[in-house]
Amino acid sequence: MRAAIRVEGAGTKAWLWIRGDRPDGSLSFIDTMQNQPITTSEWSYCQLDSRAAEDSASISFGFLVAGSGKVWVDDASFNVIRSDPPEAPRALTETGLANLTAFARLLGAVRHFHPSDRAAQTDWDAFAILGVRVVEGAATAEDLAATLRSLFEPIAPTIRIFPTGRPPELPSDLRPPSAPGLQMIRWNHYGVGLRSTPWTFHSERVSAPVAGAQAPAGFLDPAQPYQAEIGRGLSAWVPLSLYADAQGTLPHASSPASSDVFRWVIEDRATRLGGVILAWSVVQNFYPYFDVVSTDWPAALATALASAATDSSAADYQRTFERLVAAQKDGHGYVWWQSGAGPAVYNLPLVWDWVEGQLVLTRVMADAAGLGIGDRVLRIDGRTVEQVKAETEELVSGATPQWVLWSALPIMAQCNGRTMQLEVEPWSSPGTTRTVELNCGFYSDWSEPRPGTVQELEPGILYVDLVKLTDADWAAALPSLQAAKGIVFDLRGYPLTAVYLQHLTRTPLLSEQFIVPSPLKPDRVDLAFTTERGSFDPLEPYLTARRVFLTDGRAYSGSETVMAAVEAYKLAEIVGAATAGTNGTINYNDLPAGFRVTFTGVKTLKQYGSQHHGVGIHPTIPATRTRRGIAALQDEVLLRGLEVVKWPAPGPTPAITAAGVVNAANFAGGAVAPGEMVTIFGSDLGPTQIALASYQLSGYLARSVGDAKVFFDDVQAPIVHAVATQVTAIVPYKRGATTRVRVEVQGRSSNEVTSQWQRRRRASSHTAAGPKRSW
Amino acid sequence: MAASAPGVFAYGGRPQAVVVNADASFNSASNPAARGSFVALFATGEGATTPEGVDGKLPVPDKWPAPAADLSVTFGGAPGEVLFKGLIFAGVLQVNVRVPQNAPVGDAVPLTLTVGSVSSAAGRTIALK
Repeated sequence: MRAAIRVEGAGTKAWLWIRGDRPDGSLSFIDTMQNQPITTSEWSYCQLDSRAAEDSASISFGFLVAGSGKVWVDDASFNVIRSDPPEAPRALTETGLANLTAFARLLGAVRHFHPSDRAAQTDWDAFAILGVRVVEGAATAEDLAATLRSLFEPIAPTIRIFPTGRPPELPSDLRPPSAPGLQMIRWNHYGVGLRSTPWTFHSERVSAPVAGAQAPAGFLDPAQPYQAEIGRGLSAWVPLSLYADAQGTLPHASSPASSDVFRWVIEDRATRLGGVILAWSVVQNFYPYFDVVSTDWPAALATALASAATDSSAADYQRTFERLVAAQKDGHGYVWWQSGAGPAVYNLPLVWDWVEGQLVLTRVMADAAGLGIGDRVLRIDGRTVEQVKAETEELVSGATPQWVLWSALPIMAQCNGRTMQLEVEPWSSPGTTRTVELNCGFYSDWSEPRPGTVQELEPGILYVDLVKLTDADWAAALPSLQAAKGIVFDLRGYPLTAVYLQHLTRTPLLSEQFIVPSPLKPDRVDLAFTTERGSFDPLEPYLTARRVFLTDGRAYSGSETVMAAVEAYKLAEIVGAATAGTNGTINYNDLPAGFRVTFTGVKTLKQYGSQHHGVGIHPTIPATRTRRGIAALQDEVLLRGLEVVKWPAPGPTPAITAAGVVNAANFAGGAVAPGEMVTIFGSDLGPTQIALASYQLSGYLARSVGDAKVFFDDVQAPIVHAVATQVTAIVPYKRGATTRVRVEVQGRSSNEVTSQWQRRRRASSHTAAGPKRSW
Repeated sequence: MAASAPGVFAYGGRPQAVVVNADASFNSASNPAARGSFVALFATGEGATTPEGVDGKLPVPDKWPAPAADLSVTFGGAPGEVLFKGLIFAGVLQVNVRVPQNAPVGDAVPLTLTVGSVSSAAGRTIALK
């Protein structure tokens, strides 16, 4: 059964159902699509595949509604499902790969950008899979062109496929018509609307009246079709606007659309290949981050096709998709079975973390006899943890190493069977090993112990766990938060609410910039965007307490919306590690045979326009855990936050001396340059023993070392080292024409050097006077 | 803010620049570089880069940010052929340059890096043979 459905009303869901009854009235079969409810206000087709019991005397059908909204159903139909015999795994030839690559490129362009009626009505799952079966075997480029024409011209009569450099005559239906009253039609994309796309995104065809020879505003000239280079020496013209009369786009279809319905199975090779093509082509045309991720997306298609051709199990095919999605380098890139379709996943009764280059147990459930917190895992089912980690991370999509790691850690704890063997070095017996056989089960809580959701850590210092905090918790805690001297917000994870931000500001806070791709052309050519942003408006009471936000690579997406506001508006010190570098609304692409792949459908830039994806929010005070601390049941990041929230600590005031700020390579004075490593001389600029910086897991140099921070025009700079008499830092890029420099140690600020201040050359036996430079 | 402020790293308290010879050994008076060979020197203060520099980021191999302004290296006034220029760490520029055949030889040949219109301070040297 197939029908178009839409719903209106917040929280309203609808399902199709179908049932058969025997002559005596008893139930012979029943099916619903309860795992895939329709929740969007856009019309979308849904399909309920049922095996009708032969003893059914009657079939009934309908839909179910949950919620108080309205549901519309239209264009319902019954079809006999075609289920072709599955084709066995078989390796792709080089020619077959080139043919399927050409097919993938053309399919994406026609499916998403060619506005013919028949293309818009096409069952693209069937088109892709049946197309694979005929396209792959084309022996020559001429054969391929002929096969592609036979596939595409019935649904897109004005496309042309030709040897590159030998363009054909333009189809007459693309020239300005003489008939009056015509419309022009094109696709309008806001992101891309797919079968299960959330409401944020949509794709629909739009039209405008044609007046004269010029295309209406916002429409591309049909006589200037997009030229796609599809490989094997072939090009394709794909018109991106079409003329239409009252009966539809021109020329009118010569044959009715097929009403065949299929049942796709992963065991079928063409189904797997078609799924890859459908997934790849959506990302090829709509993924907004190819400008900042380093990936060879065409190569990813070739790898995935070759793999899908020979996959011999659903698990193999899942890994094929995981590798493809990993190539997106997208923290929102997931592969999963649609609800209820996948196998059960068991995992170990423990939580672990990658600490000081080791896999260390941070929590042990009661079922994990023989293990202790702080134990180091050496082997998992006989393989080294390094091997397991590397293999797992290969299958994780992420824009930053910290997100890939945090995503991989729980996956590493998933069991292949019902038991798993760990070899550990107990914290209590260094240098010894122990092998433990563990039973696997459903352990869903991947978190370490933390204080209560809102808890006073010390007199006047409150802790707020933003991963658990609800609006009601916040409202209840507000009076005590208002009286607090310090608040430690813990956002090492995903928040349920962001209401607290509104109590940390007296002026509206703009969100990051969310930029939705609105392409008119395939392959992201001339890609246009629509920018949206929200704001967090202030609420009373304003909280005057000193604040710290704890965060790390687990903070992604919505967490980063919060952390970006904290960073941009300097609402608090940020203690911990860099966030995931993944924000923007997620989109879903449901594929034949039950897989769903996801991608970030919106590009996010930080408040002031800098890159978010792959960067994230970096701590102002880096803090990490140690194995020793874990074994002592200490949350060292929290302890660091507790220390920082009480700054400024008592102590001497740092001072930059007259010798001031010099080039770190030659100690020459003068105006600083962006990216220059400079040394700042003075007193009490850092600890008594030199503290050296290191690159963080994120690949960034720390911005605080030995409790010292350096600011250029109020922008915190990366630091190389700090000691009482000098601190070496790197001048941030994109500073203004003036540069004010100051050092902060444990919250105590030095004097500020301004652009008017004339630096004197540092007396040094090993530097000679250079060209005189001034600020 | 200056467009560039180049400085060549040296061993503390000495004019000898930190230079790696073509055989991966460190340049010194007892291990001079031959004219015609290439050497690698390390500097900071190159200013804007392409691709644009990101504060504190460890550069990604094969995508080393390179100074946006023109860059040159002279050995006792003789210009060398720059083979590579790029940030290898935050704030650290590596320049691979071929020593010209007409460069002077000696234990302390003046070494100057120029980025844009600004040259590094005099006083850095390299050993050449």
